[in-house]
Amino acid sequence: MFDRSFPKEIEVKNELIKKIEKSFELKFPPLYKFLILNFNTSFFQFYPTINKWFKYSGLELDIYMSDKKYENILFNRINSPMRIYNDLVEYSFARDALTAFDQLAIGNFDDGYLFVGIGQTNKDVIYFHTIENEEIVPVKIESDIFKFISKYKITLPLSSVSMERGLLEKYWLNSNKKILLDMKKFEPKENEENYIELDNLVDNIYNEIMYYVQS
Amino acid sequence: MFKVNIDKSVYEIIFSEVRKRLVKEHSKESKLYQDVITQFYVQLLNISESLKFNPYTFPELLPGYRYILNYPINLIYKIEDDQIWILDGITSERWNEAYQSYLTTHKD
Repeated sequence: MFDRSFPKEIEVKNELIKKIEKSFELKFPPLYKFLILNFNTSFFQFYPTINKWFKYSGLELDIYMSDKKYENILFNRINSPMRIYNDLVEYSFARDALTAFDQLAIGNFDDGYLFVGIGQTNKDVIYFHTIENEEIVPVKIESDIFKFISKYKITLPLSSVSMERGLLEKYWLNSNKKILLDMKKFEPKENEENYIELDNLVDNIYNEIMYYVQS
Repeated sequence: MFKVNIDKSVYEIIFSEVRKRLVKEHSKESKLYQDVITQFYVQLLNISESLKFNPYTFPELLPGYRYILNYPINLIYKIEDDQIWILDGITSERWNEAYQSYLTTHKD
């Protein structure tokens, strides 16, 4: 599940991609370009419970790519076009990957960078670089970005003791002592029994924002 | 997975606040909706997902009632079997009012 880009975001991203293509004489591969144009690329951070509260609460999470388990989850992300441009300007390794391997640095994964193939033979292929005998060796992870995403999974330790009722409350209480103490004086009002699904509100807020964005 | 329901009056408070802020942003030339998108939409989506999967994320401050304190309108909910009921929302106005009344009572 992804956040879709707003129409104006797509326009801006498209302009930037054209600029990168012109400045560095490259062509974005079609599937990858489709993804970053149409979706918010920080999709690794989709699971909000994990990223916001779980991650910093010290609970254990398991991150897998296919069957391989990864430990370092803090920096997993696909960069925005602006960040990709910035990396190309700022870091020589990103420019070297273009000339040496026909690969574009597109994000962070585990403890290194993630690359997408931009040549004729490696178009859209996703790579990860390892170092062997002091030489960079690209390792193919998946044949395209969508297959890569489909194999990325996060498992919550639902059955483990860390999910037991009350553990996250301790984290909350520690980080919000003052406001929690004040809030305890606030009795809830239970009005009439007239409820709707929360998802309706989420959808309606989204539609309302879209109406203004497009007008 | 839990089913999450919200009281209609709380729904309307949140939605009217969203609309108010959108109108305000729309009247400016820059038309930045960042504040509404992140504060009201993204955060509510996060809350909705959290409640569906683990409603015990948020603290139980009064017996039976849990409080969501990182939303512009603080929400209070209760858990019954596999359903969540968001039954109250504390706007900053209501909070200030209650807090002032508490201070007055406290002085006496």
